[in-house]
Amino acid sequence: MSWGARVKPRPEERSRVPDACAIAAVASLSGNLVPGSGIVEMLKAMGPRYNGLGGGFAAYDVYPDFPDNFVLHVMFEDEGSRREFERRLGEKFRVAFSEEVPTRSGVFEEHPITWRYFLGEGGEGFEERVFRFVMAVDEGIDGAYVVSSGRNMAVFKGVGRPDKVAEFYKVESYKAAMWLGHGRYPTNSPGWWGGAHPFNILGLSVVHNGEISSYGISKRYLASKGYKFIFLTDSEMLSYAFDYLLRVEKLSVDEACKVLSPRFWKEIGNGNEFLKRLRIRYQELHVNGPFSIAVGMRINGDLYMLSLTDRLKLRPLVVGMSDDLFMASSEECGIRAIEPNVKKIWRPRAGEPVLVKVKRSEN
Amino acid sequence: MTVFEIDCRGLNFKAVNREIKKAAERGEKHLRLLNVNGQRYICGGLKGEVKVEIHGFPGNDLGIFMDGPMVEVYGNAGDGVGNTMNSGHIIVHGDVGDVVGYSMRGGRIYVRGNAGYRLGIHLKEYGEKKPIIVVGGEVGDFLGEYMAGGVVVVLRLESDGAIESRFIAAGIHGGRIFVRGRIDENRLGFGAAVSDLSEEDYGLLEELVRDFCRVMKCSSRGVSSEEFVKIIPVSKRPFEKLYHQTSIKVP
Amino acid sequence: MKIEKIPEFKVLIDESKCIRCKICVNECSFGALRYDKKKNKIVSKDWLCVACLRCVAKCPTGAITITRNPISLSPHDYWTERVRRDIWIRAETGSPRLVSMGTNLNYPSIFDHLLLDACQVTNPPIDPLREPIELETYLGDRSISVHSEDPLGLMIEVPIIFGAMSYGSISLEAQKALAKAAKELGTLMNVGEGGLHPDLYPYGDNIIVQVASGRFGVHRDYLNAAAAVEIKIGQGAKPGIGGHLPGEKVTAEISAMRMIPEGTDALSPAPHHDIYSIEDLSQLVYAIKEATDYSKPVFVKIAAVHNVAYIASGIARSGADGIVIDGFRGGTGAAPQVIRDNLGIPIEIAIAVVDDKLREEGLRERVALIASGGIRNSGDVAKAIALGADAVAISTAALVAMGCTLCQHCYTGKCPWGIATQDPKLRARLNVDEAARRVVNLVKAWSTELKEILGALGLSSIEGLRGNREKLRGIGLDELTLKMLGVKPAGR
Repeated sequence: MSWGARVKPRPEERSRVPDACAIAAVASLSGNLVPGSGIVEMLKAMGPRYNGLGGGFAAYDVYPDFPDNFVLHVMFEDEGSRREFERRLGEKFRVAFSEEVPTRSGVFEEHPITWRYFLGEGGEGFEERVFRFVMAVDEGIDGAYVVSSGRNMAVFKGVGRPDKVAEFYKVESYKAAMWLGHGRYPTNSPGWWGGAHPFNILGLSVVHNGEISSYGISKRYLASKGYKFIFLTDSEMLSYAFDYLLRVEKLSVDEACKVLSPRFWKEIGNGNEFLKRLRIRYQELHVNGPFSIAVGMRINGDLYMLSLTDRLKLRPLVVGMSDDLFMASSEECGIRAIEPNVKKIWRPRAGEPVLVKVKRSEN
Repeated sequence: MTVFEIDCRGLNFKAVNREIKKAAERGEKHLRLLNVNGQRYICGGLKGEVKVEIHGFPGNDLGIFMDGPMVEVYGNAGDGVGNTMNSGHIIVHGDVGDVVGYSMRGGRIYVRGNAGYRLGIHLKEYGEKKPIIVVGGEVGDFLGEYMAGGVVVVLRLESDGAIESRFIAAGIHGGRIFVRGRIDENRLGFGAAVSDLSEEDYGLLEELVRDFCRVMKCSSRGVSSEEFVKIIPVSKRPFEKLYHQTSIKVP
Repeated sequence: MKIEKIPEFKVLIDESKCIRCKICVNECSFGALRYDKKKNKIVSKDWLCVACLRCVAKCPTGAITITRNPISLSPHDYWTERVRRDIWIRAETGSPRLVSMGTNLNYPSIFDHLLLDACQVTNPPIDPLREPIELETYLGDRSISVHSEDPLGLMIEVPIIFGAMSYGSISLEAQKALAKAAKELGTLMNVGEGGLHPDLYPYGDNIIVQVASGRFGVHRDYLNAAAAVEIKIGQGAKPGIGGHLPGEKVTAEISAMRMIPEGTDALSPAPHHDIYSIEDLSQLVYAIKEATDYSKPVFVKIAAVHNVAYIASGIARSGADGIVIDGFRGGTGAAPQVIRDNLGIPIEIAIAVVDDKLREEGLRERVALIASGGIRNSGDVAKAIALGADAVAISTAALVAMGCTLCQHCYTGKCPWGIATQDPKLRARLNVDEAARRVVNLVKAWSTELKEILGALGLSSIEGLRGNREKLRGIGLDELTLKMLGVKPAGR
């Protein structure tokens, strides 16, 4: 039985959809849990930046009852896909707890069903096992798509205005140490729920604004490293790029940013051998063309929020800081919507990463 | 004079050559490599007057691009001995493999035992630079193929009768080959011919045989210059007529 | 007159303009023009004319026109005039015909069936006049860890290098012009397999030296004088066959460079005799690395042939730092016509399948890919790079920039422009500085055009175009070819 809404394109349906967007991010520097209503307000303030064809949220440290469990959020088009998924999941992992993600009825006429599965293991090599499983599901089960796969985090997304998506998933009922939000402006309406932002792989989630001109080569490069491209969107590629550089290549966040948004050769000159090597080694991941992004990530248990623009500063990004909150937004109004008297607000320079660490929450 | 020893057991070719270069740069004049087995490119690109003894089996391309050193192998050597060597001396007391002296431009290679196929291929010669290869035993097919200059001598110290190698000197367009014993003309390759020896040839052969036997500590008794056959190119341009050069010739 | 001498061209001299200065007679290196004292006029032997246009360019009064000979053979679209002439020449001489430059047959060009993208609304073009666009290109092994201290390969300022042309096939003056141009442009030229003339040693940082099967002029100092060393396995114009510099071109100076006696044929056999298999290639790569203390990248040049992807994969595993792939349109100083016109595959396909295979095998970062063989303009450069090349090598285009008119008679050694000749009188015609200036100008113009293309694509550096086949669309290409190229049809 099908519920009418599609989660992802079949291989023959895959095509690249240019989109533009509003991005928003908010994190508590002290690791306090902040309600989801804030991120929704940020996006609402930037209404003209999206056209109702996609919205979504990522929330970190959102499941206090399962603080150390990896959790898979999986969208299903039909019951058969769910059964197939659960069969495969059972072969590979022990599931500590699973349930359907609660939603409000009446918000969307047609929608897929999302389930969450808390995995009951961990330890050495576990991330790699989860990664392989996610890739296998995304590529191998027609009506299933893993929307998030990190530890103690969730992605809620769908085809609709971000506030409607929030209403649907009851986003206001969740509290998290770190939130990402996205309102999408795609050029056409493919209608796949999985194609909305954020894109996530393991602990890494990306919201993105802009169109990446070098997408083709970055995608080919990452595909050769085992990443499966389902939606052919820039954000999907960016989440993989970060995952590859940080998790596989073991670069620091700052080094990864210098790969994605490198200095010019004339600036690198002959002096900085390391920057030169970095740019040469990963030339396929030099993200060329306009972008501003916010990235949520968990590295060795710690949460980080990164925001970054391309090196020519072709897309907007504003960041703000109050006593406990760090915020990033496409426009200043997003920040003012939740912190009218924000203490410090600035526009980062082109290609200059702004990275904040969220203190480990005690609760 | 002191001898600097390098124990090559367990070292790869990179390490062996690094040790050799370091020692040569330090001014060592006599190196002894012990327990060599299969390491390639020994003395590759090495320049200067240094003597290198090799005990064991050196790998392929012994002395490739070498420029000056004196290398002596107490045993057999592999393929590509003296490949594109510029000057110097390689002495092998045993046998050598295929393609010895490929495009060698100067210096000498002496082999006490037998040599493989394509010995002296594309040997060059220019001005004072005249590569010389002397083999004490037998050689494989394609001896002196494409030879452009230089001298190859095959002594066949242990053999009588006709040489069995085939396609001798195919494509030769310079230089001379001397083979001790008889040679059937049908053993010659395209562009090669048998010729009489000149006075200068006899002088050169006597000098080479004497020097070879001195170095190899063998007897030159029973080796007479009269027994040698000389092989030369028919033309400096064996393939001149192969292609039609200009589509339109002046009538 | 024998039938093969029916002239292809006709020299028309406008009597009213001709001042009988006889400049054309002296300029014609093919002996097609003569001054007839009795008639007081210039007369032509049309069957000797190769349409090089030297006389036309030098005639002070513009009195000369060269046309195709209007005498027409009875038309036949299968047994074309060319086919009939080729038979007559062989019938007369009994020999294969030698030809020059890349194939002049009308094979379809894939470059001409590829179109580039441009930004409209969804992302912005970048304006190269105001904003920085980078063409700097790295050639070498990129797989080394960023924390390693192993030496890096080469950085060049433009993704265009000059292809291998030996001293022998071209004049020393032409080589010097390329070396000067390479230095000024911050790129590389390749001296081919004819040795390195002492005059070129000062340009070593901009020179690739070649190790070919003939090993001409190869020695330790030669290898160490250059920025990189190239092992030549094959050439697009004549894959699988050797080179052959006829004895008449082996002058005193060339014999010194090649270290062979004057007047002998300089023969490069088809194989390297120390490479009969892929593991032997690795042996030579490391022999060169040992002789140069691992300080120079080693490239391997092959002709694009049917199995090119697997061959390239083998080369990438051999320790080489770069692969130069020369497509079937690649030029030559001299090659047998039947080989040039019938062997090999197009560079566009070769680059695409090699780039794919290397990525599939996880080897792409180990080697640079350099595409050559028929690169005519900056559009071809951009397309070759989008298909997956790190850089392109140009040779014919550089010679044309110097003044070559592509008369395709290099093999005669009579090049009237002083480029493909060793005749001192003809060589003197090529002004090194002027030739270098024109080559520099060509590459500068192409660089500006490349920046304009990158700007239109919304890319601020060439890295974003490299292997980015999203930026290409095919027109008039069949589905299988598109699939092999990894390119979508226009409209998709």
